[in-house]
Amino acid sequence: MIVRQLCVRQSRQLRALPRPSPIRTPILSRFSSTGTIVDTPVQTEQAFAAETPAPSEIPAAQTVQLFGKYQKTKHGFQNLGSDVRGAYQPGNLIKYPPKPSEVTLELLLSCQTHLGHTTSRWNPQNSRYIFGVRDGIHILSLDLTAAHLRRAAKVVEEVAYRGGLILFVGTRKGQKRAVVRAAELAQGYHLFERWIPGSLTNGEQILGHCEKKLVNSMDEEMHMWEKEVKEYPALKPDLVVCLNPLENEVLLHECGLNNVPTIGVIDTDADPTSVTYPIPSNDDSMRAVSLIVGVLGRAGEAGQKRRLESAQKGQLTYEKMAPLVNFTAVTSTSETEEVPVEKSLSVEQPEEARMGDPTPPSAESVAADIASIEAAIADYSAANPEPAATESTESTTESTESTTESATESATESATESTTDAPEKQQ
Amino acid sequence: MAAARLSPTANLLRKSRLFALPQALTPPQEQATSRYVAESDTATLPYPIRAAIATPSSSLARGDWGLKRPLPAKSTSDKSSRPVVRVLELDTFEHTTDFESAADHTVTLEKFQELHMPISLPAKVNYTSNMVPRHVSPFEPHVDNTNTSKGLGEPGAKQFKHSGPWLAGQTEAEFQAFSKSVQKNKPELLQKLREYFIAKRTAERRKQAQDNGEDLEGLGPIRVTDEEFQTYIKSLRADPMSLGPVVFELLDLPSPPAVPAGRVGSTYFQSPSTKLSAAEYAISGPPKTHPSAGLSYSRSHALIYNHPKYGPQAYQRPVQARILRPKGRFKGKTAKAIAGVGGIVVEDLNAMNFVEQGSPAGLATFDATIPGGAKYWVTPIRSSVDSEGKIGLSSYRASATSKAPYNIEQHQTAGSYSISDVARGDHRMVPKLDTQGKAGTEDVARNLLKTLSSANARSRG
Repeated sequence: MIVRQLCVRQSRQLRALPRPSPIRTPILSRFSSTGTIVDTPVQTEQAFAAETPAPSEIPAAQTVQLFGKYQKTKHGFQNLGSDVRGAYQPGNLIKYPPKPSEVTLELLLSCQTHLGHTTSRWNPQNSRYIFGVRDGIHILSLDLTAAHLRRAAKVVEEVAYRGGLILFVGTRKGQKRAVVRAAELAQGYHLFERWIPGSLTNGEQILGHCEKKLVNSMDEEMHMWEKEVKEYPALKPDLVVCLNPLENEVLLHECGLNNVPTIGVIDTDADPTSVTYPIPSNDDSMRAVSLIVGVLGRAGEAGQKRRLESAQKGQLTYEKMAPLVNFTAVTSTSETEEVPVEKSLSVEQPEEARMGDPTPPSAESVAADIASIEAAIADYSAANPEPAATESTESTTESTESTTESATESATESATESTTDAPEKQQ
Repeated sequence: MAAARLSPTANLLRKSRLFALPQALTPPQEQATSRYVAESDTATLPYPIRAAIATPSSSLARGDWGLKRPLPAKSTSDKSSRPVVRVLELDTFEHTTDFESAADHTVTLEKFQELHMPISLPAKVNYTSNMVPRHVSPFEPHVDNTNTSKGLGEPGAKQFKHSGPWLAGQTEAEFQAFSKSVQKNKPELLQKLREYFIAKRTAERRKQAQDNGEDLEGLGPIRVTDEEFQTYIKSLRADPMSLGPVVFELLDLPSPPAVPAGRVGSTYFQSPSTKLSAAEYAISGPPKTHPSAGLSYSRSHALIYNHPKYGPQAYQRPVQARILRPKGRFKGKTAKAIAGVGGIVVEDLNAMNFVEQGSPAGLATFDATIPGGAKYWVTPIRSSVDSEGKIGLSSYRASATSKAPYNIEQHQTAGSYSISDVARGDHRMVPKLDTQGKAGTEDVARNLLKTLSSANARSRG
């Protein structure tokens, strides 16, 4: 062990110095000395080496046996102890969000949706949502939050029912998981990073190269019209759910220009006219935001379920798409009254056995199923065609949006009709 | 009913935990003095003025404190294993939640509760004598009264709160406002005075009847005419000595500080004997809270501490006090040593002004050589909360008996310096740092033998 009390480094320069005699200048001699007990480390090392026993090797079979025993003991003890029920687990809000019917005022209160911004930050247009002032902040009315949340949930559900494409946007830090989970539930799309300005207004340039796919009414991918689908214009969402409208002004403006309805979480400092369906709520609390987006995701899930159910019954919840290819050769005889629009389709369409139709698939039935085109950005991996799978990718261009060509108008219109007091879009 | 008119939302909000947080208390006032008072905005206040907030660990991991927005981990969960915060503002113009750690008060409370001290009523601790004032718990029934308590009717009952203000602590403006409010209530006060007069006359009459051997049952109610009452008022006005007690009684004022004997004139507004539960309250004002301040609810310190090996002990385990300021001259005055016990500043009771033998190191003079700063062991003996809300803790130096069962050692300053030869530099050898790696087995064996023989030689010598 080297002990240097005075931090003197041994070096050639020091040795070269004229060494004063230790008797005359005893203090100075300390500075030029680094004398230590030299042999100690060697000795101790040897002693330790001699004493340490060789690590005993437990045979693999015995290890397995021990592990099995441990697991058995653990399993035996698992039933012991108290059973905690009804405890609040924060993660469950994102994992298992409540349905719109399960939203209570108590739930909203515990999720801090009532806490607005400081009174000096308010937007007077929000005065109708404000319940009062306390401790320097505005308090949003829980009733109104609940009412607006239910209305927005209905919109989401109907849009999902009509096969619309829903984009969940939450670009604030920490909102990622909730946004992705909601998109997963509603089978929609998510955006948790920056919205690339112009993705809607200049979609051809920004998203034109993106991958698109053609699906039938049961959401199965159809491999047809490959060339035409590739050339199909960039898609637009039918509904945008925005969790932080203040930061995403550009997105909301573009949605306004493109007649895309929007749902937004409006805190007391946000402009309620920037979105079509405002939800007055605290937008800073992760808990409040995850509750709201989770409820909307659940609503979307219900809508998708209903849509698939009616598709099973053979009812299409949206208008059929016009064929992408003009066919002249093929003519149909009997089934024209069913699907008059898509009379002309080529016979080399994939078989449609899912409908349970005993008759050989006709061009019409196939065309009826081809419902929507979904677009995905090019770096969207082909192995993970599900939109929710983007959760793991780190690419900056997460923004995936898509639309159905024909279902857009009908879905949004019907959704607008289903709600009572939907304010008109301002932009 | 007011509650029935509330909407369900309002009812919910009123019951919510965030809204149940009490309003902040006023911070302690600065002393009205022309002296220079050293103060700091960041210093720990003598008493907490805002509620401390904690959150369960699952929510803490997400930064969820039930507030407007999650609190950053950097200043909460990354800094402490059990963070406690106090919220200054829920939201500011800068879109932030203004908060700070409340650990200063919560940890002090925890440490104080570990001392197992009951709170006593404040009393002046005299440093010249070794006598410590007797412990009187503020929870004793005869002192635990406010102006509305039923126990006030008991004979000898004291109270810690009056409905009237403490005149000695009022500013001029406050006093003017108070006297105005008194003028406004003149009719009620006169009525009260009349009742007081009747009660006084009744008592006098009863006493007279008792002295004369009359039948007490036969005494009718006393009737006081307006003329008699006016005469009584006139007599009171003429005699300040008798007016004083009546004023204090009528307005329910806490008793003022005693007038120094030199200032007492022949006639003055005499104050009645104090009803306050502690004499200290007459000097510094009645307490703002209950005298215990909620710090401890135990009534006495008559506990027996059991040591697992040595059995019951007279003293509890001593606690370490950090010497904040050694005794000596401070600001031109000789001052006693000041120590910190469990986050509370304590004046060392034993610290005499003369030089003493065997006092803990660092107490008489500042000693920089003590590792970790100068500390010594104390036994707290008395704690109270004064009317300003400060905890007054007094402690004795831990005796040898109290320290013995716990193997507590005071830090000893070395009398003579023991510096090794190596440090002194008498050894003029440079270690062979590079030989270790190359050392063969022979060298190792040789070294081993050498050290063994030298060790043997050392042990023999």
